[in-house]
Amino acid sequence: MTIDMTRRGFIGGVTAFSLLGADAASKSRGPIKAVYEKGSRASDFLACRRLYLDICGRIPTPQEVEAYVASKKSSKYENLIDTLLDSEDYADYWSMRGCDMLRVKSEFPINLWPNAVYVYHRRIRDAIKADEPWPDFARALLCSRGSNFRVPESNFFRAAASRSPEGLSEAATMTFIMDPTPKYAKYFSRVAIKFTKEWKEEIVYLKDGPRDLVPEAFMDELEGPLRSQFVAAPVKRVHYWIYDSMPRPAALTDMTGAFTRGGCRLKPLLRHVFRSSAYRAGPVRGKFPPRRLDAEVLEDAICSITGATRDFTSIAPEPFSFLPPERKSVLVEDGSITSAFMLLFGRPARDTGALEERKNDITAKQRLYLYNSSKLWDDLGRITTDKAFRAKSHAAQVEELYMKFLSRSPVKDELAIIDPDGKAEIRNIAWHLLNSFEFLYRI
Amino acid sequence: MSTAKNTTASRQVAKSVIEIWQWGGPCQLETFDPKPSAPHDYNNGLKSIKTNAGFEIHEWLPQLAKCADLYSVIRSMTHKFFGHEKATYLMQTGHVPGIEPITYPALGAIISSMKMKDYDGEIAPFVILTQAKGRFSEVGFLGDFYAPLVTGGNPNAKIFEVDGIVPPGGLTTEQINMRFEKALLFDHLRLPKHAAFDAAGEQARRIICGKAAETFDLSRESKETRERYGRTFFGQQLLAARRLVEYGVPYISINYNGWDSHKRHFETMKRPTAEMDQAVSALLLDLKERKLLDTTLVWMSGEFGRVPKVDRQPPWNGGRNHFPICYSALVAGGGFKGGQVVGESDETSDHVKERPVTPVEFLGSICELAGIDPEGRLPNPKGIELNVMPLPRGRDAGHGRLEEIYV
Repeated sequence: MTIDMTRRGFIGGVTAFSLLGADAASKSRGPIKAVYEKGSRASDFLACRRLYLDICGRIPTPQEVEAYVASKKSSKYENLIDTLLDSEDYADYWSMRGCDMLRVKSEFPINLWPNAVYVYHRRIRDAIKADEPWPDFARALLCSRGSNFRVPESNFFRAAASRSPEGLSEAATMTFIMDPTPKYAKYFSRVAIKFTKEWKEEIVYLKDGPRDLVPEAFMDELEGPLRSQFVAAPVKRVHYWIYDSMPRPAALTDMTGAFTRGGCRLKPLLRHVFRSSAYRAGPVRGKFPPRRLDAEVLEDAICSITGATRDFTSIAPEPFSFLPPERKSVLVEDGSITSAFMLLFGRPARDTGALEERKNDITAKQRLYLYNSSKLWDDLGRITTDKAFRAKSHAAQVEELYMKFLSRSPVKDELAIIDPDGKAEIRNIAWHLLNSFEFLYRI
Repeated sequence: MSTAKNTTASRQVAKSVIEIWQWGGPCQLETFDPKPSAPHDYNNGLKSIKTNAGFEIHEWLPQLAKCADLYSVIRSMTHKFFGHEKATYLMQTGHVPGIEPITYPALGAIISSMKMKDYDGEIAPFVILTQAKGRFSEVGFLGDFYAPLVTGGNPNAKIFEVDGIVPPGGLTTEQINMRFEKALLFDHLRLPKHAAFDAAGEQARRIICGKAAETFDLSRESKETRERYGRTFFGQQLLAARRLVEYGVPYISINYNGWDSHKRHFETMKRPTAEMDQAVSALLLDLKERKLLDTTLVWMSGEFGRVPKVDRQPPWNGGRNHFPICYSALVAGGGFKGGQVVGESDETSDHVKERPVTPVEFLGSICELAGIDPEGRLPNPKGIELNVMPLPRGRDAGHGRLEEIYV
C-alpha cells in the first residue's frame, strides 16, 4: 500500500494542540489525498472497498483488502468484479434493491403479510442469483396467477397499494417503465384476488371478461411499443443506485447497449459499469460522486466491525417473525420489519417502489445518533473488550481499527491529531473513525 | 360544525400534549369503569372507591381518586378492531385501517407538524419516551422530516442517556467539545456533500452542548419530586415529560408497555396499576402546581380495553383478551374540564350504553383543544388533499367530539 507506515517516528514531541490549527490541517491534505488516488483513478484499497460496497452491500474485511492490494495480477480488478458478482452477498444486496422496487413488506399500505413476503423475497433473490433476463422476470410477475404462498410471482399484484385496475396499472408502469400511470388499467380490469380457508392465503385469478384484456397483453406492450422505456428502466435504476443521479443521454445509451448485448441481464450491465473509467475515477481529482452508505449497509458495517448483532422481530401482523440474531440488515426481507437505526438512516418505506423513497442524505439527527448514541458507544466497547484485540500493541490496535473501518492504514498526519502520544483511548479512536465522512460515505 | 370553530378561536389553546399510550389495552374495569356489583367473574370480588369528584374508580387507584377534579374519564370508547395492529392504527391516526392505500400519520405527528412553526426548540417537536411503537411510529406519509425523537435510555437510571442527546459514558461538555474539534480536523477529505455533512454535524453538536441535554437531566429535580412520581421507569418518564413540556415540546408520547394481560390478569396487573396511579396523579398535581395544566393536555388510553368476563380456562387462567367494543380513556388539562364522566357502559361493561365515543372523535377533540381544526386541511409534503381527521361516517360516527367537557 502507498501509505506511510512510519508513524511511530513522527509522534515524538508533537502534541495534539500544536496540530489543532487550521494551517496544520490544510498542510496535511496534500499527502493524504495521495492515499485515495493515483492520477485521477481511485487507489487500490478504495477500488476494492467500492466494489464490495456496490456489489455485496458490505465493507470488505481487512484480509480481503490486504489480499487485493497485495495482488500483482494485472486483471485483479476485473477478477474481483466477477468473483463478487457470483457471491451470495451480491444476491442478498441486489435482492434488497429488487424488493424496494417491488414493495415487499407485510403491511400498510401494501398488504403482503409475512408468509407471502418470505416466498416472494426468495423468488426475487433467485432471479438475481440466476441473473434471470429482465423480460422473463417481468413476464413471470405479470402473467402468474394462483396462491400467494405457492406461486410467488402472484404476489406482484398483491404488493400494490391499490388493487383497483388503475392501481395495478400504476404499480406495473412504475415497476416496468418507471412512469406510473393508470392508462393501462384495462389490462388489469380482470385481475381479482380472493381469500381461501387457509389463514392469510389469497388467490390471484382472472375474472370473466374480454380475452384480450389481460396482463399478458400489457406484457406485449412492454415488448412492443413500450420496449425502449422497458429496457431503460433497470438501466436508470442501476445508474441512480451507483452514481446517485439519473443518467445523462450518452450514459443511458452506453449502458442500455451493454444491457441489451448481455441479454437484458443485470450482471453484464453491472460488469460494464464497474469496468468503466467513470466508475474507476478517484474521489478528489476524478470527482467520483460520494454516496452515504445505505441504512442497511451501514448498520451491517457497524455490526460486523464491532461484533454486535441486531434482533429483528415482528409481532404484527401475525404470524410472528423472529429473524436469527446473526441476520444482516441487508437481508431483512420484510420492509415492515425494521430498526430505529434503519428508520433514521432512510431505509425506504416500500410504499410506492419509487427510487426517492430511499434517503441517503445526511441529517442532524443521524449525526447526533452517531456522535452520541449509548448503543453505538456500547458496540464500540465490544471491540476493545475482545481478548485477541487486547493482546495487541497500541499501534497494532490502531492499525486494525483503521483497516476495519476505512479499509486502509492510518496516515501519520491523522494520528498526530487523534493519537498524538500513541496512548489515546482506543474506543475514542474508533469513535473518530465511526464518525468520519470516509467511513459513512462510499467515496 | 360552525359553533365548534367559534369556540376554538376564543379558547386558550393547549400548547403541549402528553400522550400516555397503554400498549396492549388496559382493562376498563380495573381502571376507570369499575363494576363492583357485577358477578364475580367480571370483577374478581374487587371493589371501587369514590373520588373527590364524586364518581367511582377502581380500588387499585387510590391516588388518582384524590385528584379526580383534575381529569375526566370517558367510559364509552368504542370501535370494532380486535387485533393490536389495526386497533392501534385507528386509535393513533383516526383512520380505519386497510381501506386507503396510504399510511396516515399518528396524532403526535399531526399535532407536532402543525405546531412546528411556533416552536424553535432544538429538541424535535415530537418526542417519544422511550421506545417507538414500531411500524406506527409514527409519521406515516408525512416523512422523515416529522419523525419523532425516540429517546431510548432509562429515565430511572443515574443518567438518562437519551440516544444522541446525552453523551454516553458520562463525558463532560469539555471532553465532548474536544472530540468535535478533533473530528473536524480528522475529516480532511473535502469532497462534494461535505458541507451538508458538516452542517448536520454542527447542528448536532449544538444540541448536545446546549439546553436540550439539560432538559433530559432528571438529576436537576429534587429528590422529593423524583420520588413523588415513583422511582420507576414509568414514573420517571412522566417526570421527563413534564420537563419537556417546560422546554416547550408540543407533543410527547410515552409508550407504556405491559397492559396486554391475556393470562392471570389480576395477579399481573396490580403492580403496574399502582405504579400508574402514583405517577399519573403526581404528573397532574405537579402540572397544576406549576400552572401548566391549563395549557398542557394529557390523555391516556390504549388501543382497546379487555373482555369484561374473565376467562378462567387454561391457558388463560384468569386472563382477559382484547376488547374494543367498550373501553375507557382519561383526559386532563389543556382545555378539558376535570371531574367529569363522559358516556356510560352497561352493568358489565360489555356494551356502550350511552354516548359512544369513537377514536376519530376522541382524537379530533384533542386536535381541537390544541388549536387545530380537525376538519381543516393537513398540509403535507406529498401535496395530498386531506383533512386533519377523517369525517366520521355512518356506523363510525358516535355522538360527536367531546364538547361537553371542553372548558
